Amino acid sequence: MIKSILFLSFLISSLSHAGTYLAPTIGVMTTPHSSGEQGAESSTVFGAEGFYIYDYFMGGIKYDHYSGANDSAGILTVKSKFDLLSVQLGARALLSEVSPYFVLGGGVLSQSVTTKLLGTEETFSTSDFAFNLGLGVLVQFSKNWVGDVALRYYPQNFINGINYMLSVGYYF
Amino acid sequence: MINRYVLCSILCLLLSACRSDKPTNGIYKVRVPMDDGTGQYVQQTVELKTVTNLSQMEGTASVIKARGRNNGMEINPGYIPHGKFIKTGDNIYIPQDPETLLMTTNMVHFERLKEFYDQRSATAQMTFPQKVMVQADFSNMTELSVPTSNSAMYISSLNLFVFSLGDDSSIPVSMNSGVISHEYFHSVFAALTGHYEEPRDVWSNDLGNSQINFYMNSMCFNTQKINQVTEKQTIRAQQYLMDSINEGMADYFAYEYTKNPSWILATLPGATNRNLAEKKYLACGDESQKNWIYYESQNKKFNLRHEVGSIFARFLYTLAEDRKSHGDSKSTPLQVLKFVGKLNEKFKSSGKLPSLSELTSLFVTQNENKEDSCTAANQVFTAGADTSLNKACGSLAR
Repeated sequence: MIKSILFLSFLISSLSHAGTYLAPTIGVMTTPHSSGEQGAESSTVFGAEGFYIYDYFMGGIKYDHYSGANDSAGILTVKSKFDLLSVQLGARALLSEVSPYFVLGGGVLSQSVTTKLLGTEETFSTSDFAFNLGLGVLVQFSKNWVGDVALRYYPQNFINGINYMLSVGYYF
Repeated sequence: MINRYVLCSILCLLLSACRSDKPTNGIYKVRVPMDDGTGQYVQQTVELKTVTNLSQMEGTASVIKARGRNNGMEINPGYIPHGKFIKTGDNIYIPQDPETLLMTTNMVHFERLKEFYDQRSATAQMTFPQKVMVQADFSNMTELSVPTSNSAMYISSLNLFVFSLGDDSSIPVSMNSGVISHEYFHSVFAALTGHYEEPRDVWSNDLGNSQINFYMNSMCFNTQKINQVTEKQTIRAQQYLMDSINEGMADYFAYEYTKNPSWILATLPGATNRNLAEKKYLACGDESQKNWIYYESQNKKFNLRHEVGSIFARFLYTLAEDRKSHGDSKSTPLQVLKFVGKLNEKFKSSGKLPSLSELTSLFVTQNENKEDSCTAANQVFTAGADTSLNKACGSLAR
């Protein structure tokens, strides 16, 4: 499998050694069930990312937004949402059109919970430093169009989960 | 060299993620819906002092598991929860979903209820932490009817509490402070009576359906005599009355805990028969009461144990309110807990079925000064001359 990927990467021309990548992102954040049940809860996350790529190294910023859904029980409604703005630093394994990479990120996670009880609504917000470890693959379709598929693991208690992300954007 | 720094940084980040989130003073502050004492539910910040792991819902008062299933009476242990919270700048933990909110609310009440009964020396024979299961699915359980949604239940034979969320238009039954207190009392009752087990083999319907009407406020039990009562039928009737008294005391202690006699209305607005603030009368003699219990207890379909118990609950509430108006808020709950121990003796030693009035007279005669108890009893048991209560209260009777 690895040999095939390496062979493919030699067949196609490499991603130019320096450039900037900008793209909107869509992803799924999976977190454990509150009940501890096996499997995971999924939330759709939208955002954007921008990287400067230089040889084997890449660095940039990433923004994720989850708008939440009303989750109710009787007259109680709970809505949870978050925004995450992080700096991402990574290293590519290959200088080719299919370029696997490792990434380490950290930034501000802003979360809020709105609880509605009998028509009375209250919102609490909090901000924390959240970091992630991730793996991804950059794929260059043409000179200016690049795709990025990645998963990032957020190990901290307050956002314990995995973000699976897909983006297609402009490279210049 | 650079690689070593990178590896160290990653390791440090991972270690920081694994750190315990427990507050340094050991007290978690959480935000949950609570009865403000008038039946209005409002979000309140309360403290959890005995919780060892909030996310996994572990504490010395209770341990919560989730989504257990059953195979007959064998219960799958369920999952260790993974409660989701955000922590505010004031170190208040806000539940992020209804399931976490349910578990946190239960943790709060179980801690407070343990303290409530500790203060009244009623927990010596109980086992802690109490076992709680949320969002369980016991639909295959034929021995017990355990609803899978919007329910709160204590299963005595398993010493297990079961709470589930519902989607009706009221405060969920499993988050109602009074309901949780009501269920909790059943575990206290079970411990104080030495786990008075329901004799399962005696339940069968060999008397047929007794179409007996039950009237609140002015009810009178059936006067039809039952001839040739068997031992099994007596055991059934005793169990029915024991359960009814248990339900009544649980309703009363829910009032003591919430300070709200109408605690049930926030969840079940139609359950006015269990509203302690509403007047109730039992206008029947001992024999009529016993006959009714005999008939009623043979037919599980007509399960009116809560309603029978509500008469006793109304009596206890009337007495407690009277004593509170004289500055005594402590003696009634203590007297009730002492009485629970006597109940078991009464049922086991006699081999007979007592009436509700007889049990009340047993309660009344516990204290040398029975004047206030008799006054309260007279407001609820407006019986004729043939009740044992009249004899117990003598000239105090109406």
